[in-house]
Amino acid sequence: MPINPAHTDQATRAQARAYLQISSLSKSFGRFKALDQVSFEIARGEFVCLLGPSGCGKTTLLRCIAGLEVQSAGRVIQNGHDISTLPPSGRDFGIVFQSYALFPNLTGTQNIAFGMQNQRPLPTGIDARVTELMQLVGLDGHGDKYPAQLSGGQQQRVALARALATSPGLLLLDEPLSALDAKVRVRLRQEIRSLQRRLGITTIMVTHDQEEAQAMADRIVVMNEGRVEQMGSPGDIYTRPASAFVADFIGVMNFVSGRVQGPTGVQCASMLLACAADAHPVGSAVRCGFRPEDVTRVAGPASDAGLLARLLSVEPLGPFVRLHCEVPALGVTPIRVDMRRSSFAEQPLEPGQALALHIDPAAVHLFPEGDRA
Amino acid sequence: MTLASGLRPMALRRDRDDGLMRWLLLGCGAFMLLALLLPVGMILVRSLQDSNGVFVGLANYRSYFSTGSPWQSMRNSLLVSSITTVIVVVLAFAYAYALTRTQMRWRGFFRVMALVPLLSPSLLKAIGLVYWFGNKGLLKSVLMGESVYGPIGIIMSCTLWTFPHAVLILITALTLADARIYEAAAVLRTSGPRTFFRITLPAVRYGLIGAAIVVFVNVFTDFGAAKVIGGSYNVLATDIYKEVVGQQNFSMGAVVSVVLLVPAVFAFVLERLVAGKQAAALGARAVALVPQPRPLVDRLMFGYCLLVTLFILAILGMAQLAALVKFWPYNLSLTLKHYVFDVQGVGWENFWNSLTLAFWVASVGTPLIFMGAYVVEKPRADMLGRTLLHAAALLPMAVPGLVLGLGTLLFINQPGNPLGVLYGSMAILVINTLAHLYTVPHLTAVTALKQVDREFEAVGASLKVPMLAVFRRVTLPVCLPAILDIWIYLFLNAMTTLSAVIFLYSADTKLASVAAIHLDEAGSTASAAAMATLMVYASLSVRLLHLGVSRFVLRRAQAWRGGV
Repeated sequence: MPINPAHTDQATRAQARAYLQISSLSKSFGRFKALDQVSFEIARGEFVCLLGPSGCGKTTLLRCIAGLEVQSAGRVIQNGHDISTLPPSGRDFGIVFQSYALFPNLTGTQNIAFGMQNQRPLPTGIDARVTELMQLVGLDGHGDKYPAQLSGGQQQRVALARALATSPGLLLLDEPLSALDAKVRVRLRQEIRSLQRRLGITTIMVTHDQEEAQAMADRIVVMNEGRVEQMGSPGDIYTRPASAFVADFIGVMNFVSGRVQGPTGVQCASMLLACAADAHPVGSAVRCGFRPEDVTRVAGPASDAGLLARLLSVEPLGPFVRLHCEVPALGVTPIRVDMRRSSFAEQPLEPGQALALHIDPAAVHLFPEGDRA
Repeated sequence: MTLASGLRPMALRRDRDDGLMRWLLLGCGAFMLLALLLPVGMILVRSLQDSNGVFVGLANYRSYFSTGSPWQSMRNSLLVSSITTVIVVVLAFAYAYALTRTQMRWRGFFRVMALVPLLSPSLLKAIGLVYWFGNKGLLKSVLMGESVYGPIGIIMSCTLWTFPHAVLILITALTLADARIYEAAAVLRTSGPRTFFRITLPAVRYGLIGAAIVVFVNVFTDFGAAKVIGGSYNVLATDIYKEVVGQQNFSMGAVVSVVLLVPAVFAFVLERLVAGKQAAALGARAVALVPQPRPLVDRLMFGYCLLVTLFILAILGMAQLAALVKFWPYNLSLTLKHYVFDVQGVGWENFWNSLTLAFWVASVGTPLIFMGAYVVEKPRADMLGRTLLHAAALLPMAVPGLVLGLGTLLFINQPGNPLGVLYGSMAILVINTLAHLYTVPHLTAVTALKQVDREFEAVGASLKVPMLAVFRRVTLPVCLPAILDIWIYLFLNAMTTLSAVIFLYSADTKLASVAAIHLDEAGSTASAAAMATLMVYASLSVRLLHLGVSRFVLRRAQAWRGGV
């Protein structure tokens, strides 16, 4: 979700556009292309997640933006200045590493004050600023502890406060939550998000957790093998994946192979799957993707309206249950179907029993067969 | 970082820190070049020249190998080194196994005792052996008519001397054990001996190979033991000494040096390869092994360790006794007269010289080596320079002290070399000893720096804090224990160093280790023992002082380590 879409008119948006521009950035390690012609822009105050599997180049990209790696080609422009060849010390950013990189021999307070104490001339009111930052990240009363005496979540907050202390224009977060317990992680991602909104600081976060990215980002840059697969809002990326890779990486997606029969259907193993296929040439091989929640169970015994299936197994997932079903008409790959727990409980099924399914035609995404996830 | 092939590399503009790091790299590189690379290079050059400095190709080598004696020396060196290696590796493995894999009593005590020989020069052990097994020795009959002067003495003396090194390496190897593998073996009902031969031994094979190579190279290039107890049994190390000191034939000394250097370098490269494999053998998820009590094994091992410890104490104790009795073995009343040193050119000043040397080597070397390791370890540009510096830092381990000493002598006496003013000074001894001892502390520093989060400097840069400030306020305090270790390592080893300085001292800078050799040559074995014991007590005192100071400093400055 954008920061405050209601108040942002088109004119200021255009002006705010491109606080950070990445243009045609490439980075190679020998033969290996870590980044391949990466280009995108980030608006002032935006929270952007770089999302992708390990090795996709997202961390390399972050390090190039910070000047910790040198790109092989391409440019980075921040606030109108070309910073492509500036050393890290000449750029304007704060950074939180996955390891936090807290100075172990300094207390929380000393860690946060570290940057300010080395500014010349010495800024006034360091103590007040540190206190303010401690309150901001919710660390009151823990300032005199050393990192080893703090919990993972508290260490993370100190690292965040330290990065914010010198009021940088850009905040870089390199998988800041991945070392934390699941519960703490969920709480901290909300805190970081609301802190970022309050400060309005442009932020780039690297993560491999698609759920985290969707929960936090204004926009997500999905990366794969050094390239940008798609950039868009979390909603966009979930409902309109631009490639089979994105469709598969974000959330859960069923895939079946088929051949385009006409503008409204794809011929799968032994049936015509209804969907909008007008964007693909008739007769071309495609993969049809649809999410488990877009498949519904048709009430009563298998009727003509439904798709005949056999239940293989049931996977309880908290609020809903995931049914793994065999649908011979669609091919050999089992189809996953999500149902609310309560509605499944009304008509429970045992593995081996038959059921009828319906796939929402509007929710089926088509990808050319060559586009493998 | 590596740059794209085919693409023109982009580079970041340099900042202040890059400049500083470049200066440090240049400084450390210059030291390596002047103190190590050029001297070793001089040896190679000199071995191809005649005594007037004219290039003669391989003529020196031809004339050297044309007689039978070098082959004999080489055979002797190889034989003595091989036998010692086998003995030491077997003894040290059993000892290290007892320390790490059993619940025997007194493990802490035995661990300390194994390292005691490190504090004493090899000459002291040789003297102890002479008093036990020599012509007038108490246990002469044990040798069944064989003389201790010769291979037997060299082997015994070198065994004592290299034992601690091997024990240290094998303790490390045996400590790196994954308890889960042993649990799996127990679950599968594997018998004790089978577990030992199929799991324990294979797991430490690199440690065993590494220990064997270190022992072999040390004995192969050792000079002190062969000089004192070798008698007329010639080995390569004493040949160099005889060529240079006895006959003033530097070219021939250089030839023997090369003959000594080549196998040492070869063995060392092998050792480095093996060490790399050992480090990679244990994953991050391994569970530390806690040995279970095994009454029979524990008791047997206790007996064994006690025996080894008693042997070490007997030899060292005998050397001390030798220094204190009036006239062995005829007049056994105690006296301090051997501590007067009334031989020409020898005196207490030699002992003070050794202390001075050790102090300066440790105090100059610690910052130099740590800075060098910092330059090597911190991710900045100049990959090539950093790689070269690291390679140069590893080289001293492979260069025998005698070879480095002779090389330095030849290098600074090269006509026109402005460093010639250092000849005969304490400074040249400090530089030479430092270069000789460089490798181990360098590796200690690199290991310590590797354990520091590699992003500290990146955080510093993002906060606009100069690298030097991060270094002073964070890196240095965090690495303080390693720095203290480096200081004491340099001090103790400089205290007992002999082979590296034997060609470089002058009348004013003669060291205790050299003086002890001279006393022994002059027939004052008791005084030689006295001088050597002085070195042991000095080392011991400084070690204890260091321990106290370290505890105090670490307790005050390292409160953050304690956790809650």
